[in-house]
Amino acid sequence: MQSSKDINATQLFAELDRLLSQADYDKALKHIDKILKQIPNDIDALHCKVITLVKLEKYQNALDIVVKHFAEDQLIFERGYCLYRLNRWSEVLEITTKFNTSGKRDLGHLKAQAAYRSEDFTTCLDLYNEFVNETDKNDDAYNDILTNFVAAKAALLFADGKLPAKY
Amino acid sequence: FPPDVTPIPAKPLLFDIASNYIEYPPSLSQRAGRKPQQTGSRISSLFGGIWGSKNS
Repeated sequence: MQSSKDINATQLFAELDRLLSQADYDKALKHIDKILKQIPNDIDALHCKVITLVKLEKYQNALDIVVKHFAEDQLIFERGYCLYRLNRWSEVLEITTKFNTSGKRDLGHLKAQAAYRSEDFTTCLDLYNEFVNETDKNDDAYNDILTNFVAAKAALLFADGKLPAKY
Repeated sequence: FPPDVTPIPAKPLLFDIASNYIEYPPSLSQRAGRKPQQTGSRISSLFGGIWGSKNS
């Protein structure tokens, strides 16, 4: 039988769920802090707080929570994304090197974008080339991927004056 | 004045495709008492027009 405490937690998260479905991130953030007062260090609440802060573009605040409450191998992508938006490209690349990103689209895209910002256009182009080849042309993402592929190609050409033979 | 327009090299803008993978944990719906949902509806409506951050 559910304790009243369990039911209360369910009600609190249900309200959070409702606020998020309306994309009311400011209210959601306040509500999450209310949850954390009741259930300190609740991992789901903290995870939601990280995501909500990212949606609110408060990347340092989000990162602070990841660093304080989550192990190195938890919320890897979220940590990396916050670092990316804080322009800490080399740290992003450390993470994507350390944690195998193959087969993980989120980390793969993060790596490609951080490589671009770090002007490692060769790595970037190789990654987007893979994405272009493995993405269905009818996928919504296809045009964006193609755009980034072309941007990387142009950047490499501009930087080196030439492209690797396969491109 | 006005000064002549001169071209400068500029890195092409990049779509922030990674941002489309930011999502809430699946555990949220369980904690909220919702029945388990189908996962993985990709955030297709957000694609297109999400420009990357400014050129460095």
